[in-house]
Amino acid sequence: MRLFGRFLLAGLVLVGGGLLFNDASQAGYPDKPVEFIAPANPGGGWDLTCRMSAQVLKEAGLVTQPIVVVNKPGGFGVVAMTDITRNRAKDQNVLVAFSAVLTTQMAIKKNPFTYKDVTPVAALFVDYGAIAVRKDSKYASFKDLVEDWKKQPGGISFAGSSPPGGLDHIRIAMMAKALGLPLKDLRYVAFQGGADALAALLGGHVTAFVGEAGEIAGHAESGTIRPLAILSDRKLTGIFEKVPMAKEFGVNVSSANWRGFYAAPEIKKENLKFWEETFGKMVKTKQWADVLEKQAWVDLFLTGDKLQKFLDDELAMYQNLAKELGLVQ
Amino acid sequence: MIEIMNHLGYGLQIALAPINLLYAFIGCLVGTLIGVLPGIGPAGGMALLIPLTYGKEPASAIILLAGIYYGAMYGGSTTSILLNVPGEAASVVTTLDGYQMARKGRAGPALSIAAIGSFIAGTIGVALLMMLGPPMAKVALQFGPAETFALMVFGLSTVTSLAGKSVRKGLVASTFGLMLATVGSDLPTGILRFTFDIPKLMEGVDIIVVAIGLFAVSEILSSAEEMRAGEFVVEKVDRIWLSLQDFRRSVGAILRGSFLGFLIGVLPGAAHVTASFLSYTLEKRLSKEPERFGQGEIRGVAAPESANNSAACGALIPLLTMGLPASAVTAVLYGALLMTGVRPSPFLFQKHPDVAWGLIGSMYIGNAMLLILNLPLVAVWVKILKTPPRWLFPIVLAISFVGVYSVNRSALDLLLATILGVLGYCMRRLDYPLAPVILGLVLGDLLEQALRQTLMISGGSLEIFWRSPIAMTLFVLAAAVVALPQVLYRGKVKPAVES
Repeated sequence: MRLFGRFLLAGLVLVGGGLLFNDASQAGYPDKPVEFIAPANPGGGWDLTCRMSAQVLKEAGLVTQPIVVVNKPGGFGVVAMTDITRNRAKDQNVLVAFSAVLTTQMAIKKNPFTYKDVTPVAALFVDYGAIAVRKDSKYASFKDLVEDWKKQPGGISFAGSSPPGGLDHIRIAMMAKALGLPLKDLRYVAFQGGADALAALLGGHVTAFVGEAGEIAGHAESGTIRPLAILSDRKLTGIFEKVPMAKEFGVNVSSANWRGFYAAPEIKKENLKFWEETFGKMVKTKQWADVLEKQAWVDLFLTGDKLQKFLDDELAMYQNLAKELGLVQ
Repeated sequence: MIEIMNHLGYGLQIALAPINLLYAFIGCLVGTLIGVLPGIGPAGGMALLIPLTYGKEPASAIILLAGIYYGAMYGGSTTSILLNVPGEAASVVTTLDGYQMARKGRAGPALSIAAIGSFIAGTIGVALLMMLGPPMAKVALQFGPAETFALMVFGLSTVTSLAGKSVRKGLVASTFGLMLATVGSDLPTGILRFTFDIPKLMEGVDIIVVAIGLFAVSEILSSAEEMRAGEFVVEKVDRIWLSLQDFRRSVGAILRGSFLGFLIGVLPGAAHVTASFLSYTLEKRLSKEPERFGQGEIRGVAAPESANNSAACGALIPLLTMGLPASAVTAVLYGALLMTGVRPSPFLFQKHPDVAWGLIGSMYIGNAMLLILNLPLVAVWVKILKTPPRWLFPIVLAISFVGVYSVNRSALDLLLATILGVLGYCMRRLDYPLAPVILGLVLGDLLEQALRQTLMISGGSLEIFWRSPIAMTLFVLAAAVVALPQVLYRGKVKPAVES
């Protein structure tokens, strides 16, 4: 039994070692290890936001304290937000990833909390919406797809990774609205994540994929799928350089998912300022530029009042949309 | 073939670099520990160790993390066999015969066959992965929502072989599991079901919390009761090592488990869990003495423990050949690769051969390491059973609760595990089998989700199932699994249905 105990101890020490692997001590804030919470499972967009930022912040020496990335999945971010607002309102050493998922959720009243219940720190980049089909699809261009869609609005199935009322669904609905198609006929199939939705597309089980450019970058590059349009108001670079924007076909829809961090509601002013400045330095580093290019992300840096206004505007837009689309009464 | 051997040579060369050997070893060791300790599963363990891979070569990073993954598949059987506490969800089925073997003084052979089966299956799995990767990936893509639904129905049909004496009680237990699966945020509509405004329940009930509560806590309750009545007997361990006869008896089960597990691993849906349940059912159906299953049949340990290891290899295929992480665990690998600057895509083998082939090479080596690591441990683990129960049970309970807490760091989970423990105790007293609850819980989510996705795609028409030969075949197989034993064993053994 003693041996078993020893193995147990060794295990805990090893696992714990992963958390405490860094050495650092320096005067001033943060004086303790910092926690970055990804309110979803590893491998997704929030997780990547946390891990990529943590990596660049460490490599560039902008934060000397260890940064620990913790996954706290549940309810598309609600579980983590509940924890922060209820139990950790004064915690100075925690940042949580957030994105447009929060504003869409607020618009359809799926989240009991809002960004006003926490302290938004910064938006760091955007990932634009994209529509894609399989490489051997009969739709050679966005125009073909749209024409067929107009003829039979219920005949085209879109696979996405947000729940109904979520961003991917809203993207389809916005396109349908721009084309004057009846919204009740839309066929949007929700999958557990971008990868599952892509697999359904590659297997030929759905007509098209709706998601974000970053999610399909690898497949667009290798040619297994054909990106038909980017839902943006500016051309993307890199892999998506030659992919047209939806508005070039008269479908005036732009849909970006921004990502960033929020802090506890009662974070001190000077600590908030530290993070605003630190992220400001981070987005200017070479390492961050590399990250953006690899992930097909587009840079967007907002803090303070600008971020507030951005969030207010976006929420108003989604609230209007949700009403028009009949997602809320 | 020669080309593959050349690639493998290249992969082994990478894997044998001292630093990568070290990483493979750390991965296997941590994986074994994560598997042994109930609670935190391979995905969680891997996420914890991602910081160790910062700034490392991509090949080293994936070798380390994959080691944790298949290492956990080895370790998961230990507590299932010794203590009736499943170390992770894929080992639930191992408790059925493994724990019975331990009670009969055969913990040593049970642990040994689990390790040897895991080694053989892991090696076969990685060989199949190497040779059949791209064609198997195409098979996996054939599984859309309709086919996935049929696969889940097939998986559920195995409940008839887990049911013990009464099929009816097995169905009740699996229905309870299916009901537990409905708790949480409903994917197709996002509507909350049975969450009672508790945020923690929005993500549903964690499988490992249910498994530990239902198995471990209830085991301790009923053992404590037996102890008071003086009925709790663990027979003395007569031999630690496996006899040749035991091995001969298991070898067929190991091989069948390896191939079946690999196939199920490639397909979408809770691969390891489904694979272990299906291979157990297969062995029971093939056996001339099905009544021995559940009483300490060594094949009932060999088959699922082999299947979950080769399933781990199969599950890597969608990630390596298509850049699609099909499970929670491969999603962590996907994220870790992105972090090191490698974007998983259909071109991974061409663009980053060091990562793909280095991983394959390291898996051969890692499997050997795990066997060498685990066989001597058998002698250590078996000693645990010498601990007087009055000391052992509180310790097991403590470890179990630490495990439950470690999953989400939630006190609510502790409460849930306790409630489920009491429930599990009642189920034992009333002779209801426990494993079908886990089966229902694991498959329920996917089952419902796949059905609703299918109906979204088809616009509500069921005809879509008719048009899919794969789905129809799986439905027929499911019907056969349910119906055949009733026909075949009629008159031979007692009818399975209670009067």
